[in-house]
Amino acid sequence: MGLIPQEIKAVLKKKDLIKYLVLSDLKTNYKGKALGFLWMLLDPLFMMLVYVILVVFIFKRGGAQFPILLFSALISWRWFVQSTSNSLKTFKSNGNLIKSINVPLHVFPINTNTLGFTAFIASFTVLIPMLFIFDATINLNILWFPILVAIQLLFTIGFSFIFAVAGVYFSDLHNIMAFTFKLWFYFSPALYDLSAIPIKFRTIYLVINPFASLFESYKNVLVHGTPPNKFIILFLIEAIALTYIGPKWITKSRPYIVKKV
Amino acid sequence: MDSIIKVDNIGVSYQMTKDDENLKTYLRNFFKKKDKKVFWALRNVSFEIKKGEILGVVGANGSGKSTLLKVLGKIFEPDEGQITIDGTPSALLSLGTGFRRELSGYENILLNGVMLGFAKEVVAQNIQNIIDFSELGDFIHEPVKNYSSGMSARLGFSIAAFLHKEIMLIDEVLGVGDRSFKRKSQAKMKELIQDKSRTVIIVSHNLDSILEYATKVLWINKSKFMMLDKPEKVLEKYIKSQS
Repeated sequence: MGLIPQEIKAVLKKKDLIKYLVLSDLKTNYKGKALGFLWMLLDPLFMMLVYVILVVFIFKRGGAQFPILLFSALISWRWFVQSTSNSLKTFKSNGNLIKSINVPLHVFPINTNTLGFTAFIASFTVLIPMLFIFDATINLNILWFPILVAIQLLFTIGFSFIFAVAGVYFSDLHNIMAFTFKLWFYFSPALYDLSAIPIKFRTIYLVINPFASLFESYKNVLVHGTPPNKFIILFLIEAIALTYIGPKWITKSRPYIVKKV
Repeated sequence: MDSIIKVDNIGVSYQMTKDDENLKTYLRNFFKKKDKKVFWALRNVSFEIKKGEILGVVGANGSGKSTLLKVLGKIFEPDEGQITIDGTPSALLSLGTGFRRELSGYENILLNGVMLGFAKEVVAQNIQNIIDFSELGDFIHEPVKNYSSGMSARLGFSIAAFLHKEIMLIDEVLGVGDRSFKRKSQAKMKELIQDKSRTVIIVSHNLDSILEYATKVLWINKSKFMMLDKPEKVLEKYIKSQS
């Protein structure tokens, strides 16, 4: 039991608050638009179309399964970027509230993560029919998929906790990350295959970029019907470390955050 | 009777930063040993309150009154000294804090209630009283962005009037809305404050309301403790110092 940090237990007690925050943000983001919640499906679909047009029609690259290989990585990436970059601003945008009532700060990044995860699940439902249309090899290896999702969830939440605090310390981190995220995406095997990386650099590439093993693993289990990349273990270790450190850092920085936002 | 709130020699400091901290200034200061300027918003303040007492806090702008309320509301810990509170304090949100514009008044009551730390069952029990008191009628199901400022204020006040705990922290006692609602809200406020089971701390610039409610008054000036005594005595000196 000692494995679960005190902070996480305290947050679980606030599940009503998290529920209402999530529901209200969902309404705020999607209500009042003509297509409403449909945008959760359309957003990733349009983004994929842009890349497919770019790679297949302009650069004449990518094989027959390129759309689903790309989409398997792309929805995972969008989930990560949406959750973490919204966490970066979450203390500032709830500043008035944080300054007026004693509310555990952890609920705010958890809120943005729940929203990001919901959008991911929605876009996954778009991927399912596409897997059949583009003739993916579906076998027992698909059972790895929920495990990969669980690991990424851990990583994304941990990362968001750290980002939420860092966003208060450095007000311009937001601008830097907008650029860094783009670079990070192109540096990860989403638009191309891991085999495009020369063999002698491949190990170091998988070690320094956690998303290399994650994207490769998603493609393996969803499209190729093969087991995950073994470097996913490293990703899991990083995920656990982040989720362990993150909540403690928020607690420790609370006085600073409350006075600064 | 034992004290319900005991404040022992507390101090709260803020770090002064000239400009917004960003990576540039951070990197620039990383190598220089910078002498951080620390500003004490509150220092060497002590007092005790017993159950049912009403403490008024007076002081000029920037004297640390709001900071005191924040420490009492456990929004952050004091940097020095200690506070012991026997019970749960609840801050009266300045009206409409935390409202989400896209949500209806009804949904905002639920959200605000759980944010203030109440179980959703407790919020549900009170929701009809809140709606009735706010006199919003069918508007309660309209998005708050369509409310007039008076309507939002009425809803904010009504939430505060029904969802609070045994220790109330009040920043300015106010009546809100038009004349009749103002009278009604002031009467409600008075009822809440003077309930003997409640311990209340009021920060206000309105000395009349302090004099009306407070059983004792704390005067702080420029972050420092000045005086703690019966309302008439403290206010007499405070007014003299002001003129």
